Amino acid sequence: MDKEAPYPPGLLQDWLVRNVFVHLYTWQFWLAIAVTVVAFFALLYAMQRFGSAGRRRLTVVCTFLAGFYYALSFFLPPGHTLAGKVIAGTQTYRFEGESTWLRDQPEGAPEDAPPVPAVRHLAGKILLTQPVEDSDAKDQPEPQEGRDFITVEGTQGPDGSWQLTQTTAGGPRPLAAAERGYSVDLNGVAGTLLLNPAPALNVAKAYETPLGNFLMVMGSFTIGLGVINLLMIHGRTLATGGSGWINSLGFFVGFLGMTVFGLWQTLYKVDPADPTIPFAVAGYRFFFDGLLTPLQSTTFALLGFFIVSAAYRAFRIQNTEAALMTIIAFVVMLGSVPLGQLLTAWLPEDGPASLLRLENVANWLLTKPNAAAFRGILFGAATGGFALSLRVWLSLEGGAYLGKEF
Amino acid sequence: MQFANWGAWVLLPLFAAAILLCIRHTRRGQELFIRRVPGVDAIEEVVGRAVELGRPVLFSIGLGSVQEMVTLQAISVIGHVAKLAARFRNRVIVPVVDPMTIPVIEEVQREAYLSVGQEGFNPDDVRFLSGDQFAYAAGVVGIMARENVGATFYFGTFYAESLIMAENGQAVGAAQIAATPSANQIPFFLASCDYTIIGEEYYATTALLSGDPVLKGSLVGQDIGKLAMLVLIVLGVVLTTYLGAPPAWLSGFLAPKGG
Repeated sequence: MDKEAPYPPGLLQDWLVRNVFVHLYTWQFWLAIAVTVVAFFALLYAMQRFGSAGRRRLTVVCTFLAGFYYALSFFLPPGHTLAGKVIAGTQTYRFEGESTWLRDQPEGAPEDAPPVPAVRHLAGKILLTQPVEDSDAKDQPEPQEGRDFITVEGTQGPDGSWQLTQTTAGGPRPLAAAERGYSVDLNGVAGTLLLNPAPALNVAKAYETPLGNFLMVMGSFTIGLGVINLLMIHGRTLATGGSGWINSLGFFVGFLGMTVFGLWQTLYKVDPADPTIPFAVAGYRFFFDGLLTPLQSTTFALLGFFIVSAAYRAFRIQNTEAALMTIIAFVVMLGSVPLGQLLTAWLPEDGPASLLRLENVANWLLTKPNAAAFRGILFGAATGGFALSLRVWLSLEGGAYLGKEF
Repeated sequence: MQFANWGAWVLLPLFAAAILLCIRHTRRGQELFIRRVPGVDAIEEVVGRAVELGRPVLFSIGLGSVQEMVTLQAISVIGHVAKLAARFRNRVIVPVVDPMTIPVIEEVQREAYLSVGQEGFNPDDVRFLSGDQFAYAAGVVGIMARENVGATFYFGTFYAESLIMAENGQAVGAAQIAATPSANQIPFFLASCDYTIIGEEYYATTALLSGDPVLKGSLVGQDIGKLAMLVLIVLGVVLTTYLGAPPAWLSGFLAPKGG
């Protein structure tokens, strides 16, 4: 679990980490594993008994719940910002704060001690001057502590009240609770900090990381599926001496070599100053640095040749569209190289005629018509993706993997 | 954007409502017009060409994992292509990069074969090659050359390996159809493939192939959402041109939340 989190603890998270996800020892550990294995096979058996229709219903329910969780986590407001105002006489100033949640284990606590409940910290600023929001504004002085803003920090107690301090030239100064707020010192002028009612917290967001990890663990198990698939296909080819058996032999050499040396080399620590390298490390380096990495680079380098052959085919003028594309590509290429830019260098750098300089034409083509078309494609793909997600979430999508055939 | 802003709160439910309403209409039998996409119409022709040549079909789903919508869409298309190929006792070889897709694709292919009364599906045709991008590309290129494929389909998420595969497909003389919502890969596929299905057409493929009312309705619904976005963009351009910077409440409405 993160020691510091930008989101509030999830629903029942503190209870879960203290009572469910706890360290187990000796017989409890083995009992938990046995129960998990039994539960796994019971679930597998139950799913077999469900039949196709039952499994589909289970898939529908699980898909909906998972989608509902992520929708909840997205749509619930973050709630970690806390705003307010400071009233000093007739003047009113804005306060903007952000929360983080910290779990500070006590000094000397054992590593497997259950985590302490998360404590909400607040860090914010009383804005004495209006900040410049124009991002294009240049030469603006950096806001200064004391002159432009005053920093306020603090933690929230179990009863919901805040223990706040403000930063002053003489160090942190605790803010005394006043009627409806906290007393602050605005450079010698007394004021009252009034915090807005705390917004509701997003209690779903915190589970996104653990759920992502769970999915990753599940996914890593499936690498076994891939390995079995490879071993079966190549094993069969090798056993029957089918066509391309030499490739299958290459696969087994590579697979076994990488696996054996990859595991074996973890037993050694190589000292850079020592010229002798253990056999296991040398073997691993041969397979990884000597074979895999150069092969990857070679495949990537082939792209250069393929781009030329693809460009040759694309730029053959066969119809109006192809002709237009070729002309535009020619202009863009010319505008991007010094030689091309030299052709229109005689045109003025400023004024309307400068628009005809090749580099400006190329830039216009890339940033205006090309960008517009690109964004159009992205918009279409995004709406299509949204519609597909909605169909999958509500199990309206066809396909054998959801039990409904076209 | 990690949290919904006010814009998302308003627009996403409206888009969802438009899609669901259109699905409801098509389910009730209302006919909605959907334009044809040449790449989708060519799928049957391309599979047929491979059958005539007596060469298998290769279907790559790119580097996406089974958790991605793009991959799920590609797997749906595999079902259709497999059905076309199975009708003529042809094979569809599917090399994959994510082992999690193997059982799903096997199931889809098996059902496709059974649906046309064929039992000749060979599980070895769904092959895990590697989790590495270029090892996968090299593996696909090897299969193309060894099996002498007659047709190739690239449906899914692709990166730099797209051109390596598509150019080698050209080299072996395969008829090629590519479909991807990855805008950066579209130019490479356009240059190397006979047909390219781009952007939203990618998600329309199954609707056009199957004629399923749910998918057709969804397609029309998403077009309504797109139209609404177009109106908002034009409105934004006009307002910004004539009023200058947008008012604070509008900026707040659309400002991203939570980074």
